[in-house]
Amino acid sequence: MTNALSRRPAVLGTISVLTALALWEFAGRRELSPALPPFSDVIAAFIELMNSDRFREAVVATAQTVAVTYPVTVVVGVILGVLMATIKPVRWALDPWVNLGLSLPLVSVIPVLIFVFGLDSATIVAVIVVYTLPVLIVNTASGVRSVDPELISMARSFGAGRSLMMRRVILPGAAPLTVAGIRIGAGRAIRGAIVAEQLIGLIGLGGLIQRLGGAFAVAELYAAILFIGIIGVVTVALLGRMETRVVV
Amino acid sequence: MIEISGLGMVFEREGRPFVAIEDVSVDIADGEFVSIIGPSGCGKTTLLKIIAGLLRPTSGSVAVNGEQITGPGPERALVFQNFVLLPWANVLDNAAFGLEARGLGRDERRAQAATQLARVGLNGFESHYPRELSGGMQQRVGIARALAVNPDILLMDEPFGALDALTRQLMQKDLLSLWQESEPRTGVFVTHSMDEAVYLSDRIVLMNTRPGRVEETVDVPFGRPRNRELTAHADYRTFANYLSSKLETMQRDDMSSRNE
Amino acid sequence: MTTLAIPRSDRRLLVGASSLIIGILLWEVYARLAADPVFIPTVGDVSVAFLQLLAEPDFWSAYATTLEPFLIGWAAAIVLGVTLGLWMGRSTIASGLSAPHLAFLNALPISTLVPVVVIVAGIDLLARSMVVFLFAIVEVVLTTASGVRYIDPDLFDMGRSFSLKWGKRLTRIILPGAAAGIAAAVRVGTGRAVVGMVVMELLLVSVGVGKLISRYRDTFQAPRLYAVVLSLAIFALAVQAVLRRLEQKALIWRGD
Repeated sequence: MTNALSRRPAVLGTISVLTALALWEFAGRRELSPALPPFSDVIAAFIELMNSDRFREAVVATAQTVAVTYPVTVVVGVILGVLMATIKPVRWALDPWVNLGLSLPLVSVIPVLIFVFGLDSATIVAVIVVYTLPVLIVNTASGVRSVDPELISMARSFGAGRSLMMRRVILPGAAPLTVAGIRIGAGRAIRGAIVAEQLIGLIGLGGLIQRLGGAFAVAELYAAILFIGIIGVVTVALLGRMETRVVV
Repeated sequence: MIEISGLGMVFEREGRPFVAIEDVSVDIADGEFVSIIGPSGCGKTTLLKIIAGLLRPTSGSVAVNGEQITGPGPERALVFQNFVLLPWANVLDNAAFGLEARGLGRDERRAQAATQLARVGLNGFESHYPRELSGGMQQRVGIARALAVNPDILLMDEPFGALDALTRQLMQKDLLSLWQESEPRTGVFVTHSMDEAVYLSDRIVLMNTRPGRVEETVDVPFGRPRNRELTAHADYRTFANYLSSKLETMQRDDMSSRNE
Repeated sequence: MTTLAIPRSDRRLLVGASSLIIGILLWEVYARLAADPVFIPTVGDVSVAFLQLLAEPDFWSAYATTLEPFLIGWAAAIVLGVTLGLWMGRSTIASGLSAPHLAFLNALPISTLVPVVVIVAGIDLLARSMVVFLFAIVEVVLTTASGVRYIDPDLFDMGRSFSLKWGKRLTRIILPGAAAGIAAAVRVGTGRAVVGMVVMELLLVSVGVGKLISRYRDTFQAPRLYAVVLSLAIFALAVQAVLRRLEQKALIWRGD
């Protein structure tokens, strides 16, 4: 029987999740700890949250900032990535900054950004840009470099100009890696926004988490965390789906 | 008319100069089909790329119709060994790519591409994608793409090298009939196979290696139009064998000189 | 032929270094001319503040206090994470059972779990170590597991044909085969642990580096604030460099 199960990861996964939730409910009912309410309480809190104004405000605040800032950053990042891959001096100049952006714990920069931009969404914008620009640039540049050089030779042999080369050869060829970068960046944008909001403590979903934690509203806290996690999983899955459509 | 004089190409490999070809001079008349053949490393692909305008020679010159070439031009079109089709475009758009580069509008270039696709026998495959086609079919698209720009000179870099033996035979036959039934174009054909060279060409340029150079030019003594029956002929066999053994001698000489 | 007489690799370094220097100069110009000195200190001020900090015992004891939970959490994450990862990689059942949980934890910003840790464990050493641990564990498990899955399955068949017991199987097939994956897991996990350390310091304003940051922020001592952040960046780069050196040593020791 174990062999049959191992061939069906979806079944295993479902069993695992259901069992975990059942244990959670059971342990919660036994009141083992005030920090562990039964899962049913969390569901109830979830529904209450969904209907509450302050939750909706928080979601809208975070979503708005991300939804406006990230696409703009994507455009800038892709352009810089293409430039970096095609013009050598640009690559050498941007390289150290992009590498720093990828190897440093960017969380450390958030206090400075809060200091400079204040305790509001301007800081979140800055955080999203800092968190995602390096990833977008690097992945786009990789994508451009991954284009089969024979395709470029072929296009040159037919006299293709710069614009046609970009449109029909380089950008479509770079698309898979670029979209991968966009997917990774989206995760980082959400994470960065929420951490920054937690550090600011007043705005968005992150601020809500901090307030719920401070008020020991355990069930609501878990509900909010589940919400954020599920949004994260869904976003990654959707973007992953988009990615497979782009890969030729 | 292609006039190649004193052509030389020196690459830098690991900091040292590598002579790919040296002092190559060949004249190719209008309408001639010339094969370039030689052992590996004799520079035949380099030579073709220079004629195509993709490489700048380090010495010598290539003149087409009296004018020296400085890069790719509308009178020359290249067919690649690995087909090199755009994987994200369908057959029709791939065949139309050369015309797109020339600035033709979408409807016009698609119509012209469709005509060429029909000539190479790919009627009905216009909306397929390269990954759905066999190697032979993909190469037909490559040939259609090159023909679509109506070049005076068709350059082919081992176009059937990546195909299996059966498909290769079919393609050779089709190329021959394509050649013989259309307006006279000049053809420069790089290949590894002496049989293929003799079957298709008016003249064969034998190249030797290290450094790449022209060893000899041989006229193919068979008239046109030709067909598959030629290959059964005793004279064809003798001629092809004679040239093959020349090639083999060159290859062995090269290998033994490398062992020294 | 190159136009400059400088070899290519050196040219790269030059342009890269000058790019950093130009960036710093631009900051300096902006700081002096346009920006409010309260919020954007000059490079000079930050450098002075940095050197001052290095001379103060408070600074070093802050780092010592911060490093304790970092090392504990990091070590626990590596040991537990690699073990779990090896198991996940070998057992499709374990992998299937844990997949949804790991996917959730991977998509969730771990910083949201910090208030939970506080509620459950307070803000003492254990709690702070747990934060670092949580940040690193998921990546370590996933990276190790995928490294194990990469091992040529024929090797296991070979082992089974010789009736290899699980201890030998671990030391002769799994660990060597997964070595590259484990090395990658340690690398990634350490990076995440450093992030966890910083988040822990900032959210659980404790007695370490986080306290320095909030102190300088609240008293508007911009140069010192920037200097502490700079020290965190240097710490992170130093950790990476040490790891790389260890990895190279381990590779030499392995002999391949």
